[in-house]
Formats: sequence, C-alpha cells, structure tokens
Amino acid sequence: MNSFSETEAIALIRLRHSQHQLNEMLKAKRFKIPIHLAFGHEAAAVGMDLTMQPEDVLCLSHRNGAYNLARSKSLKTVLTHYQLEERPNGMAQMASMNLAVDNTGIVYSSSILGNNLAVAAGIALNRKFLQRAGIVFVVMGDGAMEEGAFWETLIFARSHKLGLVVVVENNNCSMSSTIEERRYPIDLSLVCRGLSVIYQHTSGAALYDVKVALKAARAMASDGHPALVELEITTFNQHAGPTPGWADDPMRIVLEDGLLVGHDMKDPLFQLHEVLGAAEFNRLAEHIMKVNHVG
Amino acid sequence: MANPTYIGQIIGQVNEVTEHCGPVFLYGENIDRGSRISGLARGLKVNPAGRIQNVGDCELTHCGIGFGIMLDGGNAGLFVKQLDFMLLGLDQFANTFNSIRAFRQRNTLGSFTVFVIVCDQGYQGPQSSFNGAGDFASIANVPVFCLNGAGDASRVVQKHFVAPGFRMMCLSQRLFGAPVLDVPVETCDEDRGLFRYRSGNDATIVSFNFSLRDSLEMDTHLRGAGMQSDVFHMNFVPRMDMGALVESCRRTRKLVLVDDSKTVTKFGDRLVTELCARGINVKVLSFCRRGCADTDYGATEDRFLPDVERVLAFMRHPACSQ
Ligand SMILES: Cc1ncc(C[n+]2csc(CCOP(=O)(O)OP(=O)(O)O)c2C)c(N)n1
Repeated sequence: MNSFSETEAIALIRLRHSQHQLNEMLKAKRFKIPIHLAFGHEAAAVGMDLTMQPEDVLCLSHRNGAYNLARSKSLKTVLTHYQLEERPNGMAQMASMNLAVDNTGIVYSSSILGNNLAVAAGIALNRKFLQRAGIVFVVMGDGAMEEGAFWETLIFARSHKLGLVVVVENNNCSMSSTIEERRYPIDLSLVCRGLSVIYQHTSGAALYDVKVALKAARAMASDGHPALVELEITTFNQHAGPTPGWADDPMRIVLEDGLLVGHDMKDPLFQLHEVLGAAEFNRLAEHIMKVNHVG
Repeated sequence: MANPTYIGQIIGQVNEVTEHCGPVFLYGENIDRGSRISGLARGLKVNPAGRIQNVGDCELTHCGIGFGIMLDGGNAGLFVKQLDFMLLGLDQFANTFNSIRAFRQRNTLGSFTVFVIVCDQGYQGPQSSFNGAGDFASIANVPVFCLNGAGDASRVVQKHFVAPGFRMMCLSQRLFGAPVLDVPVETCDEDRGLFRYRSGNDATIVSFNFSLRDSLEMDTHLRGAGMQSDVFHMNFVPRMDMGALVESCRRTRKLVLVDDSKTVTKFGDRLVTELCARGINVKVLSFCRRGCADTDYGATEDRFLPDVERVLAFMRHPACSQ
C-alpha cells in the first residue's frame, strides 16, 4: 500500500469527519434540504483537490458534497449553504444539489443526470477557442452514464479535441438499483477505445491511485486528448439523507463508532488506518476532529 | 443592399455585430456546408477573432455547450435548423440556466444566443410542425424574440446578441425568401419586448409569433374603412412591462389578438388577464390556433389566415363602456 503525506492524511480525515457530522445532523433532521453524502468517495474528492491546478475548473453532480468539502476545506462554509443562509448581492441560496462553493474552482453542479457534461464541454471549448489555460473536470456516476448526454459529450469532446476529463464514480448503484438490476454491464474501456478517448481505470478508494489516474488524464487532456477516468467506488451511505435511513436499515453509520465505515480496502479511511497504524491514525483523528468540530 | 430578403436582412444585422464584437463562437450542424442550414447561415461572417464551426448532430449537447461558453465568459451563437430540435435542449434551457441565473451576477457572464428557424411553411410533415416559440419562453422563463421585419430584427439583434445572458431569436422559414418587411417602428421598449408600428384610437391590435405581417395587413384594411388602430408586436420577455398595451386598451376598448402559433397557452391571455385585473373593460377578438385538430399536423400548407371580414364586423360593434 502506498504511503500518505501528512496533508493527505489530514484532508482525508477532515473530509470523513465532516461527512460524519453531516450524517448526525441529518439524523437529527437539522436540514430542510436533501443531502447526498459520499462516505467512501473521500479519496476521489481529495485526489481531485490535489490534482486540480489554479486555472482548472470542476463541474459536479448531485453528489457534490465531498468535492465541495475537499476544495473549500471548510464544513462551516458548506453548512452556510445547507442551512440556507442569505448570500451576498441578492444571489439565491445554492443548497445541496447545485452547490458550487465560491472560489473553489467548482463552477457548476447539476442535479439533472448528464446535464453537467455538456456544460463542462462548453467551458473546455471556450478555453480552447480563447486559448486560455485550464482543464475542465466533470464528475458523474454509473447511472448518469446511461443518459444520452454522456455519449454526445464524449463524441463532441473527442471531435473538438477538448481539454476535458470525465470522471465516472462507478459505485454500482443508481438510487436503489445495482447495475445488474437495471441494465447490461458496459465496458467503458471499449467505449473509450471506440471513441478514441483516453481511458483510465482505478480504485476510487486508493488516494495514490486516484492521483496517478487523474494526473495522467489531466496531462492527456492538456494535449487535446479528452480522457475518462473510471473510479471503482463503494458508497457506504444511503442514496440521500441520513444513514441509517429507517429503523431497520441494514446500513449503519454512527460517528460514535469511530471514523471508519468499512473494514476493508473499499474504505479510503481504512487504507489510511492500515498505513498509519491504529495509534497514529487515532492521534491524528482526535486532533482533527477537535479542530473540525462544528457543534 | 437593394431590396434585401427577410433572411438577408437578419444575417446582415448579425454580421454587423460579429464584425466588431471580438471573439465569438458561432456553431451549428452544417453551418458552413451545403445550404448553410437552409439558408439560415448563408453569408454569415465573423471578425478574425471569431469562429464559424461545423458541429455534429447532438442538439442537447449544443445547448449545454452554449451555457458552458457563457459561464466561462465567452460569446456563443448556436444556429439551428428547426425549433423542434431545440426540444432536445429544454433541460439545458430550464435547469442549467435556472442555476446560472440564480447564482451568478449577469455582468460576470458571457453570452449565449440561439438563432433558430421555425418551420412554419408547412409541407414538412407532422414532426416539423412545432411553431410555438413562446412555449420555450414559458417553460424556461427566458427571452424569446420572433424576428418579423427589419425594424425589430435590427433592434433585437443589435441590443441582445453577444450581450451577457441567454436568449433565443426565432426566424420564420415561411418568410425567408420574402422581401423584408420594412415598416418603421414608432416605439419600442428597453428590452425589445414590445414594438409599436402604427397608432390610432379605434382598436389595439397585438401580434405574436410571426403574425406581424398579417396584423399590419389587417390594419391596412381597417384604415381603408376609416378606422385607425394601435398595432403592436409582442415578444416573450420575462417580467415585461405591459404598460403601453394596457394604456392602449384603456383608450381603444377593443383588443384584437393575432397569434399564428399552435400553442395552447397564449401570451395574449396574459394581457387579457392583466386588463381584467386592472378593471379595464375591453371587447376581445382573438385570431389564434389554440392547439389544433390532429389532422392539422399533416403535411399541408401551414397557413394561418386571420379573417378580415370578422375584424370589420367586430369593429362595427360598439366598444365596451368604461
Ligand atoms: C435526468 C435525471 N433522471 C433521473 C434522476 C433521478 N436520480 C437522481 S440521482 C439518481 C441516481 C444516479 O446514479 P449515479 O449517476 O450512479 O450517481 P450516484 O447517486 O450513485 O452517485 C437518479 C436516477 C435525475 N436526477 N436526473
């Protein structure tokens, strides 16, 4: 297993702890809005944060919370949106599904599956047309992949040689259906080969692997080869709202039980725990949880 | 240019903007090939910093692309062969633009303009007969302009094309080869939502969609019979000020609505509701196709003809009292 820098370890723990706090608040019905947590997506979000350059931009889906937290590094900021606090200059509240926290490089989040892809391609096209620097990353799930917009965008991006990186978070889940329960499996490597789009595939739970894949994709996209990165991810929480979501929900996430939600390599925090060892992990976690606590 | 056509005049206006506006990205399916989108893009030019780009057949993506360019501060112009193709982009018009308008200051945005042909000549078959430009305005609450003649086209294109934000500019296929309608505009509002072409105290005639020629013809008949009317054309602009229309109706007490779209929800209804709400009593004659019989969607000529005799009969009735 690869090692983690201190910055990476802090980022992963802070993000996990923020999600735990949000989950507890959701259980306490503290929000009027639906929130899509992303326990298990921490390495993907932190990897994205570490890969993006200042001139890059990011377009997200409904499951954008982890990325907004990773980029803003502030649960408090995200909470101002979730709690529908007033915004400056008469701007509307962003709430959760369209959250794109200011000054994070996140320029657009869409709750409509596939909708963010064309917008991301448009930004990439504008960058190319105006000869402005910056790669556009766009994140989606294995459900959104079924939308026609996914195919259209790949063809468009390839045809116009756009600096676009499409990240598919494949969690084998679309709301309550696994892939097998809803469609024929799709081999994205073959799809990308057919379209001559660069393809990267890796575990979305391993921060190092995510960084390597995103960095390689970014480099290719900078040269006008749009790329797709497929991340195998386990989402440990319910589609939306708190987990457990109902009295006899077999999924359980409780902050009191500790930061880990999985006890194998599918949990990015478990990977960190294994590398650091329990004592060091707990020491670091205790410190970060104190600083990151929002009450 | 001597006697330009309807489309020639509009493209001339577009070119006047693109000549000086700096980087602008004009794109569409076959925009620089073959018939140039049935003539929509024939003669289109850009300045050296601009681009005319042929693109593949993916309208939903084209609409998202335009918003992406706009979000990133660029200027996008999408040229489209049929209004019904834009139904594929409705998600972008409604959802994407709703998000942008809610979260971003307009002055930080670039521009996105859709130039789209409305297939209103008929003979195209059922699947190309959608002509309700205002339906887009209604669903997405966005400005939709129907370019009818030289006066409105020049003012709308000059004011809005490459201005920050989003709008659709619709062109009538039926009028493409016709000589441009060059009737002087008497007044128009800031947003280019409402144009007045003629004035008088006997009736208020309001044209929607591509009915301006018919409305002016109707007015000419009435003038021949000694009756003078206010003649307006109304575009679909969010939060439009209807004050001038209301004032006119208050004066004339007779309202003639002319709308060649097949849409069920009519923007003229909004005016009537507004008049009711203000307690202004008017007699209303509505020339419109409120939806159609199923057979009307076939491949025949798609011609909407207001009946002049009915207007004359309507005008002979006394107006409502105060
Ligand atoms: C166009 C559209 N269709 C359906 C939905 C309802 N919906 C919301 S999230 C979701 C599941 C999406 O699955 P995926 O893309 O894999 O993302 P995940 O929630 O697993 O992260 C669905 C079907 C939607 N938001 N948009």
